[in-house]
Amino acid sequence: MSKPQTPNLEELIHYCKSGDLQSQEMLYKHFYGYALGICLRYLYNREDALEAVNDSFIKVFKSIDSFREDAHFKAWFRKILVNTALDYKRKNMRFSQAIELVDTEPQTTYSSALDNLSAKDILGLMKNLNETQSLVFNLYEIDGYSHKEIGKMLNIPESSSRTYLTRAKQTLQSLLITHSIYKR
Amino acid sequence: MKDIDEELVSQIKTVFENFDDELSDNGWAKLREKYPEKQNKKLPIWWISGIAAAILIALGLFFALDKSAQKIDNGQQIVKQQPVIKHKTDSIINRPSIAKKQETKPAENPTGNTADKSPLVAQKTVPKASTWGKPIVTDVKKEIVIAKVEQPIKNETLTNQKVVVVQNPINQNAIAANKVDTAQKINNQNQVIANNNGAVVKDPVIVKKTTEQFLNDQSKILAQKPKEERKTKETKSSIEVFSGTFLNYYADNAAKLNAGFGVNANVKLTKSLFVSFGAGVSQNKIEYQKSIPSEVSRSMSSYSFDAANAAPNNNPGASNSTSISDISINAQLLNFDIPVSLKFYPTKKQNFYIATGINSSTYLSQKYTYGYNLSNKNVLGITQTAKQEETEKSRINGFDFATSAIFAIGINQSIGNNSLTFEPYFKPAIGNMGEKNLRINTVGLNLKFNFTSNKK
Repeated sequence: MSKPQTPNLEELIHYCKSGDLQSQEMLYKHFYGYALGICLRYLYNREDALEAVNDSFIKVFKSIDSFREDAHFKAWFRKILVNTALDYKRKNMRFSQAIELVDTEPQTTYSSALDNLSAKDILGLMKNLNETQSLVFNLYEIDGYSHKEIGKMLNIPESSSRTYLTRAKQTLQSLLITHSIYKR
Repeated sequence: MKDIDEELVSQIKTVFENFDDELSDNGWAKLREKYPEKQNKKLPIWWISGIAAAILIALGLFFALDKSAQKIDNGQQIVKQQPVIKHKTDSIINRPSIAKKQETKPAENPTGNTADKSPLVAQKTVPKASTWGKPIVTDVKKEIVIAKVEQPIKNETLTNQKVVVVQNPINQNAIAANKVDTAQKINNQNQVIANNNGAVVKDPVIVKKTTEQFLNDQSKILAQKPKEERKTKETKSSIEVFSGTFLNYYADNAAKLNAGFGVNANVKLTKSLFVSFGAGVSQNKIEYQKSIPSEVSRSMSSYSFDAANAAPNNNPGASNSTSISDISINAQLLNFDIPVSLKFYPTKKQNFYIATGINSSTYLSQKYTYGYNLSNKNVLGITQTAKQEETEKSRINGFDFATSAIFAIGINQSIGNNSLTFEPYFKPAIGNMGEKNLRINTVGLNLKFNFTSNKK
């Protein structure tokens, strides 16, 4: 099969399986934004997020042979991204905690109303949550994991996951209301 | 409140799903630093391994060749200096061509010189180049025949060695300058002054030893070596740990398999005699069914007596007779053994020994199960038989001196400086063991690991 100039995702994956570097680059660039967005939500810092993104892509390239072409690539890749970001967070926990002492000051000014919040605004809001609340909120609300799955991933009881989520939401709501981002 | 959550989540998804900082090129460049890693990582490892192996081989060859070269140097020290001599004499003589020498058979010197009597003296005719360029045989030169030095030189071997050297003051000085003491000795032993005063060049001729001479020399050298080796193999005082399996039996009762372990110390008394003592723990099971030693049955008689008295008597009016049959005694002891033995090494190599001694025991636990059939015959002649079993236990109790004799043979197998010993043994009972005076014979095999068995 000759390689088309603008292959579709299926073809791209096919060529990536054969180790074609050009196809890998195309796949990378196609999903780069998507991957960076996910990793940023967990790691807040662009450099850390990029590290996690690249590690995730390396995992993808190494294990793409095991990926069934009829499966949903984005969902598979999302799982890899989330797990890699969590691993990265665990690995650098001490460091990030040390940073947090300086850097965790909650952001109090937001540029716009809720539907105009930028990535930077959202990350600023999220920084008001503690580490676990932020993780549980991201995993449950954005990435669609169940409390049971979150309990296993974070090594906490399922009920604790629910509690962290409730507290995270309460904090976010109060912040949005306080800063007139959300008006009733 | 639900709206706020939904709206926020929706906004987060929208923002981050479509996130792009347009720096994907940089990101890809950074990824390429790590990926693909096959070319980056594996290749250097192979290179490093290859280089390391090459260096090792080169070093190995260098040292091996260097060593063998040194050996040759030592062996042929005298021979090596000869080209210098030749050069000097050539220059002294300063002749247009060097005469080709012709070796002749040893002949008697007409002068009756002492050199003639020496078996190491040979005569040569040396052709001289004439001033006209024709070779002329002018006279016969006498030569001192000295050692061809293949082995380190020794006085007794040198007399037979046959390197032909020019009888020449320069030559002798050269040997002296090179501090070849042995060669000097030979010169002293074979002080031969030739009649000829002229400094005439003679190329040294190396004459090989005869096979017989060589073998004689070698056997002399070898005869000295074993003495040293024997010394190194002499066993000194040592510690050994052992474990073993053995069979306990008595007469025609069934044998029982048991096991034990322990530690021994061997103390040297003489070159070939050691005293060995130690401590061990062993499990000893034995079952007496067919032949019960009298000591044991006496110890157990209280059981049978009690049993007979305790036999049920359901009919008080009737006269009963009670008997005991099929007695068996099952004993299980956990012994703490203290063996003491003498080990005798009959050979100088000390690769095996014969040991004899005694074993004494104390007991960490004792368990005796006494089984028998109790038959009760009533007046009607009806016999009722019931199987009875009594068990008695005790812990850490008693000490029996010399419960068994020890006869063993040990075969040593060297493992570096240590050794492994296979020791089959037989321990016949010479005393009684435990509370019930058991008699146990034992045959087994110990595997002993002996530390520091050899002198360095």
